[in-house]
Amino acid sequence: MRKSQIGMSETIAILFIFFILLALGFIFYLRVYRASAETQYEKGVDLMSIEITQKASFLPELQCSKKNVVTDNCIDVLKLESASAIINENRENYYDLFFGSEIVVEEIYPIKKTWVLYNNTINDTSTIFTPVPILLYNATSNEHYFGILQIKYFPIK
Amino acid sequence: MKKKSQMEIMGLVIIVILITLGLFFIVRFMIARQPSEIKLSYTRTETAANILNSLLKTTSEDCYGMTVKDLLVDSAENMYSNNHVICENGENSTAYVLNIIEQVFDETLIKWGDQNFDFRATVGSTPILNSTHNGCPGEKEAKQFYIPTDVGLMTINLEVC
Repeated sequence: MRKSQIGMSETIAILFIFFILLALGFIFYLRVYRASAETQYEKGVDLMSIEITQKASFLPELQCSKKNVVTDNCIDVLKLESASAIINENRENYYDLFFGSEIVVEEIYPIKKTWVLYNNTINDTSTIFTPVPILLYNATSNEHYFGILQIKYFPIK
Repeated sequence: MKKKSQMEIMGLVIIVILITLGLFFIVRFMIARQPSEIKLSYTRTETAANILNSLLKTTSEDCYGMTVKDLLVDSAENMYSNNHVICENGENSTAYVLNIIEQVFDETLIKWGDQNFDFRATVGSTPILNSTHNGCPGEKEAKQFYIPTDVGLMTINLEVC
């Protein structure tokens, strides 16, 4: 009777340890799964911010052109002044392009000047900032200025 | 007796296998858990190319409408003489263009998180201009532009790291 009780206790102890190990394994699996999902999410958000940056850089409403030939990496200041007002008035039409983001064009040389092109800021979320150096072309004076296209993307969780 | 000891050994083997599997997963998880570098790589590549591209075409504020590229060419062509263009603020082309370049880097790479860079303009092995922020000894993204001058081909090199 006593021997069988000891045997039972041994079996229970072994089963207890086994289930603890099983539970630990399961917890660890869940953590790995969660981390992997977070990495996938971060990659997706990064790709989306790059996509928005590309769309903003090549927006036909802003691109410099001469005789219908588009100049890469260049924003026409006269187009920018008109477009920033129109885009902000018709923000919903640009939502499919820029989603929750803020796009600002900043001239940093020779003078400092800022244009807010699109503003759909989302609070309580992370911000992914992507700056793109660009050339600003003033057709009136035929001069080029150095500027930055600043894109802040607010991913929705 | 023999059977019981065999059972105990089997139990131990199972525990060892479980612990080994656990350790294997921990190591695998730690190796795989690296931050996404998609954006970092994109930003570095775009930054180096776009800064140089835009900078060279930028028109100076008060140096007879010359672009940064024109000022660099003038600087290279007059490196052994004193026939530099003197800008409206009294500086020669070399000092003037260096001011523009440093102003642009201050407002971009340094402002965006103290990014290190190395900007060099050379003709052959002769340095014309140099602007650096801690240099780039490690991983970097480089972009070169080549400008023909009367004294040879000028290489503009920007390394961002």
